[in-house]
Amino acid sequence: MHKSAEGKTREERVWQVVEKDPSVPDYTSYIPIGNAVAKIKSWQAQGAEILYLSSHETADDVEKDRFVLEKYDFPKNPILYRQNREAYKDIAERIIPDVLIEDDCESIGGEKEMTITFVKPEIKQKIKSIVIKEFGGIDRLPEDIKNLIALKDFLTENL
Amino acid sequence: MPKFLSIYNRWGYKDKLFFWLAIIGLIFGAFSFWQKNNLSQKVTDSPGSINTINQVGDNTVIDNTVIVDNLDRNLTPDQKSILKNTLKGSIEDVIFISKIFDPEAKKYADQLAEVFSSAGWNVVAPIHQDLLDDFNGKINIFMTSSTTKNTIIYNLSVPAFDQSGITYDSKVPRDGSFGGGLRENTLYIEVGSK
Repeated sequence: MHKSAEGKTREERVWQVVEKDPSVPDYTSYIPIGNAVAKIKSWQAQGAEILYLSSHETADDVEKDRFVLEKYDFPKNPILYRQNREAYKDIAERIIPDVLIEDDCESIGGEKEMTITFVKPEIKQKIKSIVIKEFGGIDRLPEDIKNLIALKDFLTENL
Repeated sequence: MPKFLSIYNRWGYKDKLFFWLAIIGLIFGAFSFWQKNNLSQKVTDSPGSINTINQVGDNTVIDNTVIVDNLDRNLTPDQKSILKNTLKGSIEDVIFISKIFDPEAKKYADQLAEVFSSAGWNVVAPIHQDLLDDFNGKINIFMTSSTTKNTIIYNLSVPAFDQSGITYDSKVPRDGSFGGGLRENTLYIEVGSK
Protein backbone atom coordinates (compact mmCIF):
# COMPACT_ATOMS: atom_id res chain seq x y z
CA MET A 1 0.00 0.00 0.00
CA HIS A 2 1.03 3.65 -0.29
CA LYS A 3 3.53 4.91 2.29
CA SER A 4 1.33 7.48 4.01
CA ALA A 5 -1.19 4.74 4.89
CA GLU A 6 1.15 3.45 7.58
CA GLY A 7 -0.42 3.73 11.03
CA LYS A 8 -3.81 4.70 9.62
CA THR A 9 -7.04 2.74 9.97
CA ARG A 10 -8.31 0.83 6.97
CA GLU A 11 -11.06 3.38 6.42
CA GLU A 12 -8.55 6.24 6.54
CA ARG A 13 -6.40 4.46 3.95
CA VAL A 14 -9.35 4.13 1.60
CA TRP A 15 -10.13 7.80 2.08
CA GLN A 16 -6.52 8.75 1.27
CA VAL A 17 -6.90 7.10 -2.13
CA VAL A 18 -10.26 8.73 -2.76
CA GLU A 19 -8.73 12.09 -1.82
CA LYS A 20 -5.70 11.44 -4.07
CA ASP A 21 -3.02 11.50 -1.39
CA PRO A 22 0.35 12.41 -2.99
CA SER A 23 1.97 9.13 -1.91
CA VAL A 24 -0.58 7.01 -3.82
CA PRO A 25 1.13 7.32 -7.25
CA ASP A 26 4.61 6.98 -5.71
CA TYR A 27 4.80 3.25 -6.38
CA THR A 28 8.41 2.70 -5.37
CA SER A 29 7.63 3.88 -1.83
CA TYR A 30 4.88 1.33 -1.31
CA ILE A 31 4.99 -0.82 1.84
CA PRO A 32 3.52 -4.23 2.77
CA ILE A 33 0.32 -4.35 4.81
CA GLY A 34 0.85 -6.00 8.20
CA ASN A 35 2.64 -9.30 8.09
CA ALA A 36 1.95 -10.08 4.42
CA VAL A 37 5.52 -11.16 3.66
CA ALA A 38 5.52 -13.85 6.35
CA LYS A 39 2.10 -15.12 5.28
CA ILE A 40 3.10 -15.47 1.63
CA LYS A 41 6.40 -17.10 2.57
CA SER A 42 4.49 -19.55 4.70
CA TRP A 43 2.09 -20.46 1.88
CA GLN A 44 5.01 -20.90 -0.48
CA ALA A 45 6.87 -23.07 2.02
CA GLN A 46 3.84 -25.33 2.13
CA GLY A 47 4.10 -25.87 -1.62
CA ALA A 48 1.90 -23.13 -3.04
CA GLU A 49 3.05 -21.57 -6.30
CA ILE A 50 2.61 -17.83 -5.87
CA LEU A 51 1.92 -15.48 -8.80
CA TYR A 52 1.56 -11.74 -8.29
CA LEU A 53 -0.94 -9.79 -10.40
CA SER A 54 -0.01 -6.14 -10.77
CA SER A 55 -2.42 -3.30 -11.35
CA HIS A 56 0.11 -1.75 -13.71
CA GLU A 57 0.10 -2.08 -17.48
CA THR A 58 3.66 -1.27 -18.50
CA ALA A 59 6.92 -3.13 -17.91
CA ASP A 60 8.46 0.01 -16.37
CA ASP A 61 5.75 0.32 -13.75
CA VAL A 62 5.86 -3.41 -13.04
CA GLU A 63 9.57 -2.98 -12.32
CA LYS A 64 8.55 -0.61 -9.52
CA ASP A 65 6.40 -3.39 -8.08
CA ARG A 66 9.33 -5.79 -8.36
CA PHE A 67 11.55 -3.28 -6.56
CA VAL A 68 9.12 -3.05 -3.64
CA LEU A 69 8.60 -6.81 -3.47
CA GLU A 70 12.36 -7.39 -3.35
CA LYS A 71 12.93 -4.56 -0.89
CA TYR A 72 10.58 -6.16 1.62
CA ASP A 73 11.75 -9.70 0.92
CA PHE A 74 8.58 -11.07 -0.65
CA PRO A 75 9.29 -14.45 -2.27
CA LYS A 76 10.60 -13.99 -5.81
CA ASN A 77 7.87 -15.07 -8.19
CA PRO A 78 6.50 -13.93 -11.55
CA ILE A 79 4.55 -10.68 -11.67
CA LEU A 80 1.72 -10.85 -14.17
CA TYR A 81 0.27 -7.71 -15.69
CA ARG A 82 -2.17 -6.63 -18.35
CA GLN A 83 -0.70 -6.10 -21.82
CA ASN A 84 -2.23 -5.13 -25.16
CA ARG A 85 -5.49 -3.88 -23.69
CA GLU A 86 -6.04 -7.04 -21.67
CA ALA A 87 -8.38 -7.05 -18.69
CA TYR A 88 -7.59 -8.69 -15.36
CA LYS A 89 -10.10 -11.43 -16.19
CA ASP A 90 -8.15 -12.35 -19.34
CA ILE A 91 -5.13 -13.17 -17.18
CA ALA A 92 -7.22 -15.09 -14.65
CA GLU A 93 -8.90 -17.06 -17.42
CA ARG A 94 -5.52 -17.89 -18.93
CA ILE A 95 -3.88 -18.94 -15.66
CA ILE A 96 -6.93 -20.42 -13.90
CA PRO A 97 -5.36 -20.26 -10.43
CA ASP A 98 -6.58 -22.61 -7.71
CA VAL A 99 -7.00 -19.60 -5.43
CA LEU A 100 -7.41 -15.97 -6.44
CA ILE A 101 -6.98 -13.44 -3.65
CA GLU A 102 -7.89 -9.85 -4.42
CA ASP A 103 -9.30 -6.89 -2.57
CA ASP A 104 -12.74 -5.39 -3.00
CA CYS A 105 -11.41 -2.23 -4.77
CA GLU A 106 -13.49 -0.08 -2.43
CA SER A 107 -11.57 3.13 -3.16
CA ILE A 108 -11.74 2.86 -6.95
CA GLY A 109 -15.24 1.64 -7.63
CA GLY A 110 -15.80 -1.80 -6.09
CA GLU A 111 -16.65 -4.99 -7.89
CA LYS A 112 -16.55 -3.54 -11.41
CA GLU A 113 -12.79 -3.08 -10.87
CA MET A 114 -12.23 -6.59 -9.54
CA THR A 115 -10.89 -9.58 -11.44
CA ILE A 116 -13.34 -12.30 -10.48
CA THR A 117 -16.35 -10.19 -11.47
CA PHE A 118 -15.85 -10.67 -15.17
CA VAL A 119 -14.32 -14.17 -15.28
CA LYS A 120 -16.39 -16.54 -17.40
CA PRO A 121 -18.78 -18.57 -15.20
CA GLU A 122 -17.41 -21.91 -16.39
CA ILE A 123 -13.88 -20.83 -15.36
CA LYS A 124 -15.06 -19.05 -12.24
CA GLN A 125 -16.26 -22.31 -10.79
CA LYS A 126 -12.72 -23.73 -11.06
CA ILE A 127 -11.22 -20.87 -9.03
CA LYS A 128 -11.54 -20.45 -5.27
CA SER A 129 -11.98 -16.71 -5.10
CA ILE A 130 -11.21 -14.83 -1.90
CA VAL A 131 -12.19 -11.19 -1.71
CA ILE A 132 -10.66 -9.24 1.15
CA LYS A 133 -11.27 -5.69 2.32
CA GLU A 134 -9.07 -3.16 0.56
CA PHE A 135 -6.07 -2.27 2.79
CA GLY A 136 -7.20 -4.91 5.29
CA GLY A 137 -4.24 -7.13 4.48
CA ILE A 138 -4.00 -10.91 4.44
CA ASP A 139 -2.81 -11.45 8.01
CA ARG A 140 -6.05 -13.05 9.10
CA LEU A 141 -6.31 -15.45 6.19
CA PRO A 142 -5.52 -19.03 7.24
CA GLU A 143 -1.86 -19.96 7.60
CA ASP A 144 -2.50 -23.49 6.41
CA ILE A 145 -3.06 -23.56 2.64
CA LYS A 146 -5.48 -26.46 3.01
CA ASN A 147 -7.68 -24.14 5.04
CA LEU A 148 -7.14 -21.34 2.54
CA ILE A 149 -8.32 -23.52 -0.35
CA ALA A 150 -11.31 -24.72 1.67
CA LEU A 151 -11.92 -21.34 3.29
CA LYS A 152 -15.69 -21.72 3.39
CA ASP A 153 -15.44 -24.98 5.35
CA PHE A 154 -12.71 -23.50 7.57
CA LEU A 155 -14.90 -20.51 8.43
CA THR A 156 -17.88 -22.74 9.16
CA GLU A 157 -15.84 -25.01 11.43
CA ASN A 158 -14.44 -22.03 13.33
CA LEU A 159 -17.72 -20.25 13.94
CA MET B 1 -52.45 23.58 -25.80
CA PRO B 2 -52.10 20.66 -23.30
CA LYS B 3 -52.68 21.70 -19.71
CA PHE B 4 -49.14 20.68 -18.69
CA LEU B 5 -47.54 22.89 -21.36
CA SER B 6 -49.63 25.85 -20.35
CA ILE B 7 -48.49 25.41 -16.70
CA TYR B 8 -44.89 24.91 -17.86
CA ASN B 9 -44.95 28.09 -19.94
CA ARG B 10 -46.07 30.11 -16.95
CA TRP B 11 -43.05 28.97 -14.88
CA GLY B 12 -40.13 31.31 -14.42
CA TYR B 13 -36.54 30.50 -15.46
CA LYS B 14 -35.58 29.05 -12.05
CA ASP B 15 -38.66 26.79 -11.93
CA LYS B 16 -37.86 25.41 -15.38
CA LEU B 17 -34.21 24.87 -14.44
CA PHE B 18 -35.20 23.03 -11.26
CA PHE B 19 -37.68 20.91 -13.22
CA TRP B 20 -35.09 19.75 -15.75
CA LEU B 21 -32.48 19.13 -13.05
CA ALA B 22 -34.98 16.93 -11.22
CA ILE B 23 -35.68 14.97 -14.43
CA ILE B 24 -31.93 14.50 -15.10
CA GLY B 25 -31.40 13.43 -11.47
CA LEU B 26 -34.13 10.81 -11.76
CA ILE B 27 -32.60 9.43 -14.97
CA PHE B 28 -29.12 9.19 -13.39
CA GLY B 29 -30.55 7.63 -10.23
CA ALA B 30 -32.40 4.96 -12.21
CA PHE B 31 -29.29 4.27 -14.33
CA SER B 32 -27.03 3.92 -11.26
CA PHE B 33 -29.51 1.55 -9.64
CA TRP B 34 -29.66 -0.57 -12.79
CA GLN B 35 -25.86 -0.60 -13.16
CA LYS B 36 -25.31 -1.63 -9.54
CA ASN B 37 -27.75 -4.51 -9.79
CA ASN B 38 -26.37 -5.59 -13.12
CA LEU B 39 -22.80 -5.80 -11.70
CA SER B 40 -23.93 -7.73 -8.65
CA GLN B 41 -25.48 -10.21 -10.99
CA LYS B 42 -22.21 -10.62 -12.91
CA VAL B 43 -20.16 -11.22 -9.77
CA THR B 44 -22.52 -13.93 -8.57
CA ASP B 45 -23.38 -15.51 -11.91
CA SER B 46 -22.97 -19.22 -12.08
CA PRO B 47 -23.64 -21.23 -15.23
CA GLY B 48 -27.12 -22.61 -15.45
CA SER B 49 -27.71 -22.67 -11.72
CA ILE B 50 -29.11 -20.65 -8.91
CA ASN B 51 -26.34 -18.95 -6.90
CA THR B 52 -25.73 -20.29 -3.45
CA ILE B 53 -25.31 -17.45 -1.00
CA ASN B 54 -24.34 -18.22 2.58
CA GLN B 55 -23.43 -16.02 5.48
CA VAL B 56 -20.63 -17.52 7.57
CA GLY B 57 -20.09 -15.28 10.55
CA ASP B 58 -19.30 -11.84 9.16
CA ASN B 59 -18.31 -13.32 5.80
CA THR B 60 -20.35 -13.97 2.68
CA VAL B 61 -19.94 -17.04 0.50
CA ILE B 62 -21.31 -16.87 -3.05
CA ASP B 63 -20.66 -20.12 -4.88
CA ASN B 64 -16.85 -20.30 -5.14
CA THR B 65 -16.23 -16.79 -3.85
CA VAL B 66 -15.65 -15.98 -0.20
CA ILE B 67 -16.08 -12.29 0.54
CA VAL B 68 -14.07 -11.88 3.68
CA ASP B 69 -15.43 -9.15 5.87
CA ASN B 70 -13.83 -9.76 9.20
CA LEU B 71 -11.98 -12.96 9.97
CA ASP B 72 -11.21 -14.04 13.51
CA ARG B 73 -7.76 -13.30 14.87
CA ASN B 74 -5.58 -16.29 15.52
CA LEU B 75 -1.94 -16.53 16.51
CA THR B 76 -0.01 -18.51 13.92
CA PRO B 77 2.51 -21.14 15.03
CA ASP B 78 5.31 -18.74 13.97
CA GLN B 79 3.88 -15.88 16.00
CA LYS B 80 3.52 -18.12 19.05
CA SER B 81 7.10 -19.25 18.71
CA ILE B 82 8.50 -15.72 18.27
CA LEU B 83 6.44 -14.37 21.17
CA LYS B 84 7.45 -17.20 23.45
CA ASN B 85 11.15 -16.83 22.69
CA THR B 86 11.16 -13.04 22.94
CA LEU B 87 9.15 -12.90 26.13
CA LYS B 88 11.36 -15.38 27.97
CA GLY B 89 13.79 -12.63 28.99
CA SER B 90 11.60 -11.48 31.85
CA ILE B 91 8.99 -13.21 33.97
CA GLU B 92 6.41 -10.83 35.36
CA ASP B 93 2.70 -10.35 35.96
CA VAL B 94 0.33 -9.80 33.08
CA ILE B 95 -3.42 -9.20 33.08
CA PHE B 96 -5.66 -9.66 30.04
CA ILE B 97 -8.92 -7.81 29.53
CA SER B 98 -11.13 -8.69 26.58
CA LYS B 99 -14.09 -6.89 25.05
CA ILE B 100 -17.38 -7.39 26.82
CA PHE B 101 -19.78 -9.88 25.18
CA ASP B 102 -17.23 -10.72 22.50
CA PRO B 103 -16.24 -14.40 22.31
CA GLU B 104 -13.74 -13.74 19.49
CA ALA B 105 -11.84 -11.21 21.61
CA LYS B 106 -11.88 -13.65 24.53
CA LYS B 107 -10.57 -16.45 22.31
CA TYR B 108 -7.72 -14.25 21.06
CA ALA B 109 -6.92 -13.13 24.62
CA ASP B 110 -6.82 -16.82 25.63
CA GLN B 111 -4.28 -17.52 22.88
CA LEU B 112 -2.10 -14.60 23.96
CA ALA B 113 -2.38 -15.60 27.61
CA GLU B 114 -1.31 -19.14 26.77
CA VAL B 115 1.84 -17.86 25.05
CA PHE B 116 2.73 -15.54 27.93
CA SER B 117 2.16 -18.41 30.33
CA SER B 118 4.36 -20.76 28.29
CA ALA B 119 7.10 -18.09 28.33
CA GLY B 120 6.98 -18.22 32.12
CA TRP B 121 4.93 -15.09 32.85
CA ASN B 122 2.39 -15.07 35.64
CA VAL B 123 -0.94 -14.63 33.87
CA VAL B 124 -3.25 -13.27 36.55
CA ALA B 125 -6.48 -15.26 36.13
CA PRO B 126 -9.19 -14.98 35.12
CA ILE B 127 -9.24 -13.05 31.87
CA HIS B 128 -11.50 -10.06 32.52
CA GLN B 129 -14.31 -9.78 29.99
CA ASP B 130 -15.59 -6.32 30.71
CA LEU B 131 -13.65 -4.06 28.34
CA LEU B 132 -15.79 -1.35 26.76
CA ASP B 133 -13.26 0.12 24.32
CA ASP B 134 -11.93 -0.97 20.93
CA PHE B 135 -8.60 -0.36 19.19
CA ASN B 136 -9.44 -0.85 15.51
CA GLY B 137 -8.86 -4.58 15.71
CA LYS B 138 -5.55 -4.13 17.52
CA ILE B 139 -4.61 -4.87 21.10
CA ASN B 140 -3.62 -2.20 23.61
CA ILE B 141 -0.62 -2.61 25.91
CA PHE B 142 0.09 -0.51 28.97
CA MET B 143 1.84 -0.74 32.34
CA THR B 144 0.60 0.46 35.67
CA SER B 145 3.74 2.27 36.77
CA SER B 146 6.81 3.75 35.21
CA THR B 147 9.68 2.67 37.42
CA THR B 148 12.88 1.61 35.69
CA LYS B 149 12.02 -2.03 36.18
CA ASN B 150 8.60 -1.66 34.64
CA THR B 151 9.97 0.24 31.70
CA ILE B 152 12.23 -2.72 31.04
CA ILE B 153 9.30 -5.14 31.11
CA TYR B 154 7.35 -2.88 28.78
CA ASN B 155 10.26 -2.49 26.42
CA LEU B 156 10.60 -6.23 26.33
CA SER B 157 6.98 -7.03 25.54
CA VAL B 158 6.55 -4.41 22.86
CA PRO B 159 9.38 -5.73 20.62
CA ALA B 160 7.91 -9.19 21.06
CA PHE B 161 4.74 -7.97 19.39
CA ASP B 162 6.71 -6.03 16.80
CA GLN B 163 8.72 -9.07 15.82
CA SER B 164 5.71 -11.32 15.60
CA GLY B 165 3.85 -8.84 13.41
CA ILE B 166 1.04 -8.20 15.88
CA THR B 167 -0.22 -4.65 15.66
CA TYR B 168 -0.92 -2.84 18.90
CA ASP B 169 -1.70 0.49 20.46
CA SER B 170 -0.01 1.75 23.58
CA LYS B 171 -2.50 4.10 25.18
CA VAL B 172 -3.32 4.96 28.75
CA PRO B 173 -6.68 3.26 29.41
CA ARG B 174 -9.74 5.47 29.44
CA ASP B 175 -11.22 5.93 32.92
CA GLY B 176 -14.08 3.49 33.43
CA SER B 177 -13.31 1.50 30.28
CA PHE B 178 -13.19 -1.69 32.38
CA GLY B 179 -14.23 -2.69 35.88
CA GLY B 180 -12.15 -2.87 39.06
CA GLY B 181 -8.93 -1.17 40.04
CA LEU B 182 -5.47 -1.43 38.55
CA ARG B 183 -2.87 -3.74 39.99
CA GLU B 184 0.55 -2.21 40.52
CA ASN B 185 3.62 -3.24 38.53
CA THR B 186 1.66 -5.23 36.03
CA LEU B 187 1.56 -5.37 32.26
CA TYR B 188 -2.00 -5.02 30.96
CA ILE B 189 -3.10 -6.28 27.57
CA GLU B 190 -6.50 -5.16 26.35
CA VAL B 191 -8.12 -7.07 23.49
CA GLY B 192 -10.88 -5.09 21.83
CA SER B 193 -13.14 -6.35 19.07
CA LYS B 194 -11.64 -7.57 15.80
